[in-house]
Amino acid sequence: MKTPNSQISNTSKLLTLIKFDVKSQIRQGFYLVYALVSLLYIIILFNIPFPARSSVTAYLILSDTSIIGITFMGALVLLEKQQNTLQSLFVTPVKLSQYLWSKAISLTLLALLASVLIAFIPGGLSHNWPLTLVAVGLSSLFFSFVGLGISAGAQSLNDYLAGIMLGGLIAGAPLVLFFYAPLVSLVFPINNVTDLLFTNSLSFSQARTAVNCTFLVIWILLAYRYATRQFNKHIINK
Amino acid sequence: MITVNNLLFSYAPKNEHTLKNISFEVGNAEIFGFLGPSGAGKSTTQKVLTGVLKNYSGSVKLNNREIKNIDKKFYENIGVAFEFPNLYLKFTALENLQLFSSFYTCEQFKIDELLQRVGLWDDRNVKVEAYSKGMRMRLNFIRSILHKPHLLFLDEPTSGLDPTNSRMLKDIIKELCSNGTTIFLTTHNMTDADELCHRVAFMIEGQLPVIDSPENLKLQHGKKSVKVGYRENNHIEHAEFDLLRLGQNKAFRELIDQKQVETIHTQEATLEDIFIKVTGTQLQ
Repeated sequence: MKTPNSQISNTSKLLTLIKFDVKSQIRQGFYLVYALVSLLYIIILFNIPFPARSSVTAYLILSDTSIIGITFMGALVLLEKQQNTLQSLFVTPVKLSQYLWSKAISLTLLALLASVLIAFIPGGLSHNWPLTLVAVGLSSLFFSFVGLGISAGAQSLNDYLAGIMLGGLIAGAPLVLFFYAPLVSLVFPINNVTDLLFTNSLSFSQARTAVNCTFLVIWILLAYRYATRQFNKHIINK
Repeated sequence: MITVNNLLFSYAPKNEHTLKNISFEVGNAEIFGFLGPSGAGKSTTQKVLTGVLKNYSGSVKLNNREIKNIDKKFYENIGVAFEFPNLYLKFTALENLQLFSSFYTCEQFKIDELLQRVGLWDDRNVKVEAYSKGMRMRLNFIRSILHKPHLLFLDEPTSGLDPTNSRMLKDIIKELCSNGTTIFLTTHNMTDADELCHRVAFMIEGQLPVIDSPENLKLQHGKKSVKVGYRENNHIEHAEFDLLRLGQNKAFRELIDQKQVETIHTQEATLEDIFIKVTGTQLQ
């Protein structure tokens, strides 16, 4: 049975891991890369007049910062596989769930930071910032878990790239539905993120926001389960 | 501490068993050596004992508790140092140790003292990527003992170490054992096994044909004789005598009295000889 002490200890382990992962990502140069990418986007956006600036900002966030998790996760996990740090981590009191959430949350922090810069400095999406942050946060968590699942089974960077291309195709394909049957298409995560980001520029609906967030949370939990199974199969029980 | 009965394990249901019905016990504060060629099943056994692989048949108990039923608290009392140092290379030695230290709630060694003990104090703020293999091995070792584990798994702990550091590490291992830590030592190094282990087990193709103390094995498999090296015309000559009634052996006594004796060795077998004899396999 869990005691309050063990709960505190679990939370503190998660926070320690997140802090360590962020530090690790800084040292691997992820933050530098994203600072440069964000700077480039900001310069481009300042040169686009309103109202097009809002749509282009939403598009950039949808196609780049909100999927940072899947882009960078392979590099992170493959590096840890190469350094053999995973096997030593899983024979400590750290739980697999803490490891997975730490990775997903740490990359989501990077996604949020980059989105804040891109969305608010040129002002393209600053009129509804809470919804933008919610969309990026949930999207990044979902794609991070998918990235974790794919990277667990990948033996090389090529394997991972092939995996995310296939994953990206499967996750991105339902976007077509968004233009033909917008309401029905909201069961797919890519459409939930698209809807949340573009709603900013159009009309805000509380009900629609709730539907999108609910579906995204369900997809995050499914992706988390997929990542857990992949880690157990390919790394822990190998 | 560890009780293994009829342990069977295979990585996939249709595959041949990697571990074939093995049984052994390891007592408290014992150093138990696990010897065998690559691919014999040593790492798999260690993975079962550390609770990583749970899909086994038979019984594996730690302090009378079946390993299958353990939770993450179990790892508060377990330390594992893998053969290849698994450290975060972009972080310093101190940061690596501080990270792992934060995972445990139990009483721990002081990080500063451990770093000083293994000679890494001056390089504590250097990133591990700049460390030599020997330095990484030492760091890997102290990371595994940081939380004063009751049960310690060591896989080739002296691999890549110079004789001085190897000596230092073996002294720490003995010290831990005398303070009550049970140690499961997987190694190819017969000298280490002979020096450190109270008992050794030979693993070959997933089975354990021999479990005994190094001393017993050497006596059982050795020749009961003594070999004397003595100087004769500026050369070293050798003569061998039966140990039985050696004191009354006239030739032996004459040699001792009249020649310049350089060496005297009893002819017990080495662990390596015994391993090859028993298993028919050479350690690689």
